Amino acid sequence: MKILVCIKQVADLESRFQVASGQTWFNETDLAFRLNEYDEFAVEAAVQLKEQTGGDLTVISVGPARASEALKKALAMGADQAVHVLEDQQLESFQTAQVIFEQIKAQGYDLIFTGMQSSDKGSGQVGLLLGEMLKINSVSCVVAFKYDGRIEVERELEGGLRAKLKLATPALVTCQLGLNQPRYPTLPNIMKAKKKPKSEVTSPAPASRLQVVALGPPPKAGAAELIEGDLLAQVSKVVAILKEHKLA
Amino acid sequence: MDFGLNEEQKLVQATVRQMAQEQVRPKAAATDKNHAIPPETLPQLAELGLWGSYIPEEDGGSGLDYLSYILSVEALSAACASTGVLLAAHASLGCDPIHRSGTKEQKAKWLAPLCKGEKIGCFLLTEPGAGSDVASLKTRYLEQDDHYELTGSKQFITNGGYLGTGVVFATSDPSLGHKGISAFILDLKSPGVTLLKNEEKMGIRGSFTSAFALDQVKIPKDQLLGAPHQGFAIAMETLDGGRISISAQALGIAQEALDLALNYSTERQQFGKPIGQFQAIRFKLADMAAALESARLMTYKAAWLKNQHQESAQVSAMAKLLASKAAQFCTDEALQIHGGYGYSAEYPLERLYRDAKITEIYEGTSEIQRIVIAKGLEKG
Amino acid sequence: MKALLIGEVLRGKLAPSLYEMLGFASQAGLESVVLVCAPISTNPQFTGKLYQGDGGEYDPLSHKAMALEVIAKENPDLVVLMHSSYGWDLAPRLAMELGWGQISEAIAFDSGTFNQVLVGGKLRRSVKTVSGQAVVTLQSGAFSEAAPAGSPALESISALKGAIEWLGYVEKPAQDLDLTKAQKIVSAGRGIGKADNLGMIQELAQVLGAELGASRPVVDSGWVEHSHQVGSTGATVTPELYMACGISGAVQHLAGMKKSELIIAINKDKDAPIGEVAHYVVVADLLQFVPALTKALKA
Repeated sequence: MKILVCIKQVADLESRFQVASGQTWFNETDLAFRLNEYDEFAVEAAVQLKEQTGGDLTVISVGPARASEALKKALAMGADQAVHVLEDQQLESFQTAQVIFEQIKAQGYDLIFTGMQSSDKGSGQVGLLLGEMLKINSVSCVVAFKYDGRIEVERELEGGLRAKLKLATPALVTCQLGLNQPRYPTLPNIMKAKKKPKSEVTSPAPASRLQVVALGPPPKAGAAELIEGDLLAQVSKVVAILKEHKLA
Repeated sequence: MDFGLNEEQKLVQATVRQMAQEQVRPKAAATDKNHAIPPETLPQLAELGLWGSYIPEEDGGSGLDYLSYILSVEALSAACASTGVLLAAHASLGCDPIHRSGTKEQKAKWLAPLCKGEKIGCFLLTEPGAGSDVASLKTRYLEQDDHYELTGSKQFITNGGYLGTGVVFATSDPSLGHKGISAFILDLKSPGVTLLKNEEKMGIRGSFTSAFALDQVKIPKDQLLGAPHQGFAIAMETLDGGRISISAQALGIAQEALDLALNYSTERQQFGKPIGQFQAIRFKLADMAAALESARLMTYKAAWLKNQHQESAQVSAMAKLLASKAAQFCTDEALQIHGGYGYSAEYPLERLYRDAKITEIYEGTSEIQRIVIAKGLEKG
Repeated sequence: MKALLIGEVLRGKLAPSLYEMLGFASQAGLESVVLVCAPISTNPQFTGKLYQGDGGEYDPLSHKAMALEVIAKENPDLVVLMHSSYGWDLAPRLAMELGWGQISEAIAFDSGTFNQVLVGGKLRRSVKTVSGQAVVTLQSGAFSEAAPAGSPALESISALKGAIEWLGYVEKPAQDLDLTKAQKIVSAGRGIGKADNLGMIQELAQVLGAELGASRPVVDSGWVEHSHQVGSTGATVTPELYMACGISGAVQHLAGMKKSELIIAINKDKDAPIGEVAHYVVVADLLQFVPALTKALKA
């Protein structure tokens, strides 16, 4: 079985973000980067499937040089080889999907895993777009996954409800948090990852279909009243508010 | 010069940090209170491959470079100093001498299980009457036909209570001083080995610090480590590495103290603003950060030298001197910043403060580090 | 300008979020055409055309085919869906087929551009598509609902079934708790640090006569059952009181609680995004503040 997992390296959300000079993205200097959390579940699902069926697992990422760290993590978690599409521009979903498509269209993957969305942009488009480009079955927001010749998945819906689906391969699934328990890469596997094949390629991105008009911090509109100061004063203020609203 | 970590080092650091924050840190207070590292922690370290640390893969280890190992100890110690020294003593004191001086057969028999965490390693050098003055140790060994027989006592043995695999030092003749000392691999479950007690301590309470009586303990001949009377050299080389791992433990403690202080100084409001806006607090934080960063650079340099197989004794001693001082300083200042809450057992600062102190004492007191540093100056 | 609004169907019922899409269209001054791909028990109330499909409730291929047919007939400038499990699944498929840009999870619309949040709410951007035509998904709760009024002209539409086999809904285990009916909710977020600290949140909830809510990370950590989860993949709640303890305010969480009548957040970061929807933010360490408040309320 040929398996592909698509990952993205994203800025740690705990960081402080400042708008960069182009006004379309934030300043990346001094930020910590990590493997997108949703993609960790995708990598884990892919590695588990490989462990179940055997075969070959490739990990691909589109991004600047730093994204190599995220690829290394996926290799250490169990991917066999990595493809790094070097791209310094901040691509929109359609562009990213198209770049990945160009790299993999001839490869005939049986199963492709992606995160359901990236934690920096949260568009949730790349996986589904890629599935459409490849003209294969795709299903998003998967919280349970089984393979027995075909794949059986559960999609997470609203209000705790799930939809159970069955589909044939080749297929693409986008993984929601909680799908599995992503493993820690073990230390020996981190060292072994160094020896796994990793190719760096470039690929021209198509024009963006989106235009960023402005980027900035959220407005302070309707901003909350801050209750600061001494603990006991804070407590009495809150008690007073609750009483005023007849809630205590 | 390159001060950056490579990809593997970054990934090791991030992985151990994540594991330590998720699985070790929540149990640090209980570890201190119960005087025991929770038993489930040991297999968790095994799963990650931490026990095998920088021992090469062909010997059953994880094949890390030395700096990656040091980053692991640091990350683990930030979460829990007791768990940090569990790994540091196991790897630097238990595994290291077998790795360096053991035969192929000894490595296969003793080192591989240590690297899997099936046995916990320790180092039995210190005695009631022989601490820093190693040459005065009193544990005797007699050479018999097919074995050695050891009699004596050992004290302050980190990880001793696990009764795993130790490297034990004894003399054939105390009048020979350091020239009479040999090193042996010892299964701590051997007949004649008695665990006398685990010390009650000020800090690192989750870590076993054990005292043993050795009474005519039979050690098969193939468990002699290195050549006869090579023990002193083995001990000294081991301690050079051990110092770097304790520096790493100190860095972890100091970093945790600084992080807690930073956090608290933005949350805690007095006189209408966060205390972190007062210069008195900001200066403390700045001094802590500077002490920590200089100790970190020194520790990483010592690890780098060791990884290049370059002479590292003097730099290791400097690293340990600086890092243990930084740990003591940062925990003290962080506790002060926390005021009454710092003194309260509800907050982690008093534990960190107690844990930090040991780093100025074990694997050579700060005074011994200065002796090593000064000796290095003479050579030059 | 015209918009095709694609409504969603769950267990034979049209999701009421259609009125949010209608509200958006009317705010943007767009003519609305509605497509609903699966049979529904009661028709929505609006003035315009309703294309009624006969597909399954989740069948992306047939839903895509129906939408494309309607788009070919109606020539809309925008295709609008909710940013829900249904909408985010179908939207990129349509965008791909149409060759249009897609704008995900829009929170506002202003003179031709849409606003989106980035990096967990810490930044916001305004975007438009280069061509002017767009597939847009709307954040749940971001746009005011249109009042139900009128009755649409119906037209039937049909498409072949797709290749994904539908095995049915998986019921969530029967639970007594229904957060959507709670008058008061005290919610715990990642900021509580560890499961042990949940006790003090529960105690505060008890003193206030409130139900316990939680953000997604707390549920994912296994600290509380999913039935306590508030947010777009949990319950959408509108209690009289919502106290958010250690919840920074991811957009998915805000979507599930921002219509609460009184929102008090307890957070050590005064700039946490929860402040966008909260009425009050108590800037404090919740481990100190929560027990102190509980004590004061008990007194």
